[in-house]
Amino acid sequence: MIEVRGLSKRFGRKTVLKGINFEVNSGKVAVLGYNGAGKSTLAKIIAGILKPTQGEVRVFGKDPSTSPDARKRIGIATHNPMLYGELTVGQNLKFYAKIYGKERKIEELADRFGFSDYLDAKVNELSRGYLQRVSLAKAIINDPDLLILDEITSGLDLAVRRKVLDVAESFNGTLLFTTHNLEEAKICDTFIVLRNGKLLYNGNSFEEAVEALNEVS
Amino acid sequence: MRFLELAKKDLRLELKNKSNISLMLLFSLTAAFLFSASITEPGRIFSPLLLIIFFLTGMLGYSASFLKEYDSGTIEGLKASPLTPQEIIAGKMVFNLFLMLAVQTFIFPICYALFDVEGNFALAFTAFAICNAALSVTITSLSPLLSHSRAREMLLPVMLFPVIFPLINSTVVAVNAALEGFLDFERILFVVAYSGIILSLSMITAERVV
Repeated sequence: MIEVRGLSKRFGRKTVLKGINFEVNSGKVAVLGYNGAGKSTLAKIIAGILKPTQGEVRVFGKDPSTSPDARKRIGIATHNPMLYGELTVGQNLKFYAKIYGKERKIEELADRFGFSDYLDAKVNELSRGYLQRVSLAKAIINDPDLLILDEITSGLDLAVRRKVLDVAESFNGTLLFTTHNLEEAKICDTFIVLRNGKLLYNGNSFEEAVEALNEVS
Repeated sequence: MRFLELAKKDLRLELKNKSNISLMLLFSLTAAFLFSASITEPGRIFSPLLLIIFFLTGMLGYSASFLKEYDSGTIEGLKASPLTPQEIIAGKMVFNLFLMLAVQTFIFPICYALFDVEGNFALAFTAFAICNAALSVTITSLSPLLSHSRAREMLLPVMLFPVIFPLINSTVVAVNAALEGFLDFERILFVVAYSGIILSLSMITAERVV
């Protein structure tokens, strides 16, 4: 499902990812690492938002940055909600549903994520917690086979964080969950540890992943 | 026709905040009044004055819808969606053409009256609309090239002027001819073909620039 071979990414003179290799077939994958490890860049490359400087990324057998078919099967929520502040929550979700060609009932999503009362509210009037709920609803509006959650729980209160983790836990497809919170990572069955853009660990043991992460500090 | 959804979204945003259209209208009205008050017989240079107004107005308005996506981070949502870079450019283009037509419908008659122009109004309006659409297409096509640049507001006119100079030149001749009562098909065809070439180049390079 996800194949990453020799992936490097540079921004100007700074190399953010250095020769990353891994493969994910299914399940829930946690990408762990401290700030600046390259987690978000990796997530954005897999989602097709960024292009690799070197190497190759394949999702469902295709390059996500050039294949609309691959992107149609991916959902992503990041700390940047990717929503239009001047539009209402409902208008934002309807726009994305149409772009993905999905006739989804926005009200059902709003009920599920607990923002039914805010469908007519402007996005820039929402609190951070509600913003992330809407962002999460946007991420699954296309019924994705691969859901990428990039640091989405940072700075959220416990109730919203629990909601996000419930969605992640109950998600049926493949989950790529980038976080620096070890407790949250426990919902996953595969662990990838990054440090300064390099892959330190890729395996199924949470303890070994934590050990690899601690070697960093 | 996913790009139309993008154009509709931009239109909805514009109707909510009216930031682009009010800026464009305000600027063009101010320029029109200033020109009419300070130039004797402005009717003689109606088409170049109108073009100066629309070139500067276009730079303010046409690139804004693109650059806002970058500034607000929503471009990431579009890039993660099944929209292709070509569809993103096409969506912005449809919205900008609508914006252009809205501004021209309002400003052209005002300038025509203020500058005391004599000639065929309908034909001049049509010729100018075609050339103005070409101008809008060209500016929209080039906007993504500068979206990553820090000095984009300064670079845009510098980069645009040499590219659109042939358009300006031909538009002046075409609108003058229209005022005299005939359509200069040769000039209009050139303007359409030229913007078509710029649009094609923009679509070819879209994967790299959006």
